[in-house]
Amino acid sequence: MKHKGIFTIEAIICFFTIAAITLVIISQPQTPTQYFVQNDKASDLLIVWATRGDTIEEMEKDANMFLGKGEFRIEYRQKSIGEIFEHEIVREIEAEGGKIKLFLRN
Amino acid sequence: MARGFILSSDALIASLILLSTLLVVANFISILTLSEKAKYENFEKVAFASSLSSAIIKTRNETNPSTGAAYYNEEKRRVESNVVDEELLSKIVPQSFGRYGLFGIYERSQDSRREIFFQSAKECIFVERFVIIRGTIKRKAVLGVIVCEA
Repeated sequence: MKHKGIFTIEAIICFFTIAAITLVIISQPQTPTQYFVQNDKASDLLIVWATRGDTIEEMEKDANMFLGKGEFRIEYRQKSIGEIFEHEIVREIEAEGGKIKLFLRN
Repeated sequence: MARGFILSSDALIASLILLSTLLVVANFISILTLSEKAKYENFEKVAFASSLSSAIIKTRNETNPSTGAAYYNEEKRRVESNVVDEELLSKIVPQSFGRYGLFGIYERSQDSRREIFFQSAKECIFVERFVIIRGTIKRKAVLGVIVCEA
């Protein structure tokens, strides 16, 4: 059979198969190290805030020191500080003044 | 051009391509395996550091504060989670726990950092926890726990 193109159909199929296998291998899920650490951090902040009964401004100061600026959002008593993230981890705790919600960038 | 008995030129080229592809794939899998192994070992160390730091800030062990330095509240008659007793904290010494060990602890606030102790070792990582330190001054601080290979 005479071919006019550069590649035969078999070669193209073979190429796409190899590309698909490589993509599957590369896109293996990552180890949950980051998630693990973030979970602990969120839990620590919420426990301390609930114990002390801090204001949202104090919470913001603590989170800036511990997590870094722009890495979180806090919701407490109808107030919200920080930006909304596309992918985020949410943790909450029931404190005396109401529910404290902490959103971390994921 | 005369054709060989067993291999034609096409078959020879195809074999060479197949062999080089196999070589590339084997090399790729080897790199991937080594990277996964490193990730797993790092995860194991982070998990250990996280567990040890949780023990330090959430439990109390007066005889061995390296495994528990939380504050005991006399009024509430219970150990307070994420509240650390400064006296016990100062008594913590480097300790090995098999493959990994506790080699340092530091306290960090907005503008300062104080080492409680540190012993140099290899392949160290640290995890930070947010706590209240109960001592001469009650304060909120970041407590860093340094874990290294023993």
